This record gives sequence, structure tokens and C-alpha cells, in this order.
Amino acid sequence: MAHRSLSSILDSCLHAEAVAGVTTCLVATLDCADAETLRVVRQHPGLRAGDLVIELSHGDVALSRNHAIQVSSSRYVTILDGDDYVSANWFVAAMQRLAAARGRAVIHPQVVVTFGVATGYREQPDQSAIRLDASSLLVVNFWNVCVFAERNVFLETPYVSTRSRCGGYGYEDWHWNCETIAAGYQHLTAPETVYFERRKSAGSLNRQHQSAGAVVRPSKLFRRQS
Amino acid sequence: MNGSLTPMGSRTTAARLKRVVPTRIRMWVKGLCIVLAQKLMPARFGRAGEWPVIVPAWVCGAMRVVSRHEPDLAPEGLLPYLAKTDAPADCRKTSRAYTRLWASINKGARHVFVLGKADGGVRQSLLPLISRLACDEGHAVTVVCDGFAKGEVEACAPDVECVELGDVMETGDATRQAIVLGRALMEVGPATICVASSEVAWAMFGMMAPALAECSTLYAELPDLVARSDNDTPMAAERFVAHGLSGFVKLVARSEGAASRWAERYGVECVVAGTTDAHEVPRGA
Repeated sequence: MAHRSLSSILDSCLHAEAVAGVTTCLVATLDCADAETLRVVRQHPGLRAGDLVIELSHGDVALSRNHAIQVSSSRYVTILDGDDYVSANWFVAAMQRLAAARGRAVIHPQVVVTFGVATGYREQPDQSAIRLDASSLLVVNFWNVCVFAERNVFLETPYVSTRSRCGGYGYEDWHWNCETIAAGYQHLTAPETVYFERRKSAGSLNRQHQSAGAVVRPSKLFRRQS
Repeated sequence: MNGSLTPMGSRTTAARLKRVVPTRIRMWVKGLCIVLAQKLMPARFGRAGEWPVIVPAWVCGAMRVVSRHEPDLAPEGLLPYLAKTDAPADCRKTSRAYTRLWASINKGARHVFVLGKADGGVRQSLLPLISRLACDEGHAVTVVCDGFAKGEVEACAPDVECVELGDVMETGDATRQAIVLGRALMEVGPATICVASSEVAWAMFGMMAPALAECSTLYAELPDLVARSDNDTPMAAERFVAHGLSGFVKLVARSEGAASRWAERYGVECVVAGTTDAHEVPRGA
């Protein structure tokens, strides 16, 4: 699974370089990964000289992402889950969309296709195209984990650890979406981009959050209006 | 055959049609085409009995590229099983819900209660507490509850104002109701809140704390379920303590013994409400 996803992501990186001359750098974080996964990723034939593979023991996806962002040196960052896929045009289309955006923005794929034990198709909303009431984020997360933004956005608004098994909080990407909206960022979508989200029968972080009765952490977005 | 299910016609033709044909007619025709397509070619246009999704050619193209690495994403294999997943909740509903809830609550009242199902937790613990607060302490009380508990409230405390959540919210999901109510209560101001479900308590306060904690006191009914192996109550109580919220949580126990146990175990204040005798819930109940 890791090998295939990595192959696809690296193909997308090569596509970006070939089509638009965009230089990409992969930072793969392996958080409490098993030996086989470590071996597959470290020895992937497609890894390039500047790519980084980092072993971590946070046991927390939010902290792992923050770590990866800290060690990266690029101007833009995109977050991808290690067992999912993204359309080949993602990097270029997202960059173009961000450049064309008015004001502060982060970019998501236009369409999410889920596959695996559950299949589905949905379009993610673009805040510049529809009037989205932010209070709806109390009960629903409109955008999945895949996001493209300037690295500064992630440094100013880092992901917050959840550790739902003992703490009762989960859905770190939902919380990040709330915090960035509260910070004045619009969530937009890059046209004709697709994110392919794998649904697993076991081991899903979302399922863990649901079964633990986790909720989103308090967010500035939900504060009392003065 | 590339598996794409694109709308027929060129972009120019489609644009012309859009200008000429009224939207309502176009939507009707589109719906009819979808239904016919599903009936005539169910394997091609989605799962039987469900609305199929017309997938643009560019999505199919992206699937084809990625399917070189992930065969499960090959359009021919996946398209027949694709259906639109639930659209995000109407963004206006949530905003309306807590606005209406806030407007429904008597802002002159000191206490607002949220109750769970009308089972032993409500009957034995919270209703006596409500009655005591309303009658003994002379506070105006508004009770916000779901339909199950409303009858219990009206029977036990007929003088309190009762707002049924189903009248102001369009979802029966207790967790969502709690979250939205928590947000509404932030606008109401100081309140005392009783919750007959630890899961609901966490849903409400987990997301709103510490802002809600600044203006509220929470009574959380946590029956003495020490014998129950699948109880989620201790987890909720531990969460409040772990996140520094124990200062405003008062655990409502059914007996002195339970109150002492919980107070000792979690370091939070416990109150005894109701007059039931202490009892242990049988394992597996």
C-alpha cells in the first residue's frame, strides 16, 4: 500500500516538474511504523536526492505533520495521507489556484473519491463560490485532510494533538480547518483536481475517533461573539 | 471506451441550451435521464436503488492515471459503484438551530437543563434536582430536552418551562444537539446545565470549554455503574479532569455512597439528587 501510494505521489511530483517547472520535495513521516513499512518507504526506487524520510515516535498524526512542516524548507506545503492518492495535476493546479486567490487562502481538491470498503463521490465546497456559514463546522467537516497552502500558514496555525483514546479529542484536520477560518483564511478548491481517499476495514483514524466519542477541540471559531 | 460519463454535447451547445431552456425544465429532464439510465443500465450508472452520479471526464481521466498504481481505482471497476456520499449538512440549518434555541430559552432564567432519554438517569437523578432548584431556590427554570424526556419533565415538574429540542433542531442526533446547544448557551450567559448522558456532556463541553465553563455549571448525571464493563462514564469524567474542567463539573450521583466514590476517584464535587436507594447495575445490563 505504501509503495503504491508513494509511487503515485512521486509521479505527480515529476508531472509538476515536467509541466510547470515546479520543484518538489517529499517529506515522508513514519510515525511508529512497522519494520516492513520502514523498509518499503526507505528503499523506494523513486525517492530523489532531496526527499526526506523521517522516523518518529509521536503516535500522533498532528505532531507528525507539524514535524514534517518544520523540517521542510519549501514555500508551499501540501498534506497527503500515506495510503491515499491525488490526481497528477494537484500540485500545479493548487499552486495556480492559490496564486489567483484574493486574500488569504488554502486550497483543497475539488472532488473526493472514496474507495476500498466504502465507495463514494463528493465535491468539496469553495468558499469563494458559495456562502458557507462557518457555524456549520460545529457539526460537520467540509474538507478532508488534503490541503495546499503556504508553509507560513501551517507554522502560524499548527495542527493540534488529539490523542483521542485518552483525551476525548479528535479530528485534527477538522480543528485545523476551524482555526484557519477563524484566522481569516478562505478554503478554496483547485478546479479539476481529485483526491482518492482509501476507506479501510480496520486501522482508520477517523473510526478510532468515532468509536472513542471524540469531539473537535475548542476553536476560536466557536467563541462567544462579543 | 474510456469509462467517462460526460454530459452529451459540446460546451458551446450546453451553454446555448442553458441560456434558452429554463432551469426547472433542464433539471426535470436531467432527473428523468438519470432515472432512465439507472433503470436500463444499473451496472453502468450506479448501484440499484440509488441515484447514480455522473462523473466528469476529467475525474475519469484522473482515475485512469492513478489506477496504474492502484487497480481498485480503474474507472471500469469503480464507476458502477460510485454514488454521491452525503452532502455536507445545509450550512444554514446549524446556524438556524442554535439561533432558534437561544431565542427559545428564557434568558431571565438562571438554569437551563439538557436531559437525556427518559430512563432511570433522568427520573431518579435530574428531575429531583430540577424541582429542588426551581421550588426550593426560587429560580426561574427552563428545561431543554428531547421528546423522550419532555413527558417526564412535565409530569414531575409541571411549572417549569420546557423547550423540546425537536422543535428547534432538525436532527435527532443527541451529540449534535448537545454541540449546538452548547454554542447557543454561550450566547445565553450564565447557566446551570444538567446532562443525563456522559457522552452528551462531553460533546457539549468538550468543544466549548473553556468558554462555556466560564459561564456555566455542569451537573453530569453519572450513575454508579462501577459494575458495568462497557460503561463510558468514567472515560467522560476522566476527560473533564484531564482537561482541567473539573472545577465546573458536579457529578450527580444517586446515593451518598456513589457520590463519595466518584468524588474520591475523580476529585470533583459530587451531589446527591433523588431519593433512590443505592444499587449496583448488574453486569451486562
